[in-house]
Amino acid sequence: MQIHRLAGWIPALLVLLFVYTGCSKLFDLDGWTHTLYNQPFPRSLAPFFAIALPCIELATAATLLADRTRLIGLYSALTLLTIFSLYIAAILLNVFRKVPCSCGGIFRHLTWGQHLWLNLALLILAATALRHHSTYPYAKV
Amino acid sequence: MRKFKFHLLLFALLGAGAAYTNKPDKPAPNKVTNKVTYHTYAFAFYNMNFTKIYYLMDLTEEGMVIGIDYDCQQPISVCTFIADITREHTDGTGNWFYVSDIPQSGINYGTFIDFDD
Repeated sequence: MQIHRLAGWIPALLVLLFVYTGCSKLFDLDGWTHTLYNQPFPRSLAPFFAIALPCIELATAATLLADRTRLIGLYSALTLLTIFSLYIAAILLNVFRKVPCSCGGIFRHLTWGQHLWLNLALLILAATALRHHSTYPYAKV
Repeated sequence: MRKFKFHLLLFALLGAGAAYTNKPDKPAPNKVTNKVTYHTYAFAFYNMNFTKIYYLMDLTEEGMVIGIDYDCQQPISVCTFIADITREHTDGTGNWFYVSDIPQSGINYGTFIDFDD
């Protein structure tokens, strides 16, 4: 029962994370777009990612809210966290020619190394929630 | 069986509120009054320790003095940027940053990162 309760709170944490990161980007769209211009991918993609990424994050949070769509939300959260973690790992391994500045919000105060550890912790939590949800889809929180 | 968990909605509102509270302040449009505390510049990227910002433009066009305000390595377009609070640093992008976010230390010729490696 204790595990049910703990696993039930993970979607809440993910909702908080994705709403915060999504809204942070939209509230400072200019700064966020400039951050994307400094990332190691083609400049022409930056305006698209500037809108698409926060929308995907907010959509992920929205799907986590309802019982019917929570499984989709958990898969989406897991996918996003995996992509972000791989991207940060690639930066830390000097795969790209330059080290870009980090993203906005409170996360801009983290180094890339700290960012990776945080992402990995969230990734484990998301995987735990997904596994729990698949076993007990309507467990009470 | 509940279809919708309201405590999750509460967390969503908390996230939106936190994002709004943490959003960076927009500088006042009057550049003259904010000249001392703000600069505009387009930084390119940080080094691994976040102690330097590398610049991807010709800073002399902005009236900055090589060896004093900034210094470059080959290729000449990669430069370290040193903030000078007595100057207004603009590059036309309109991107404003606090002076406290800009490295204030002197130019260190020994720790350039060679991006051509």
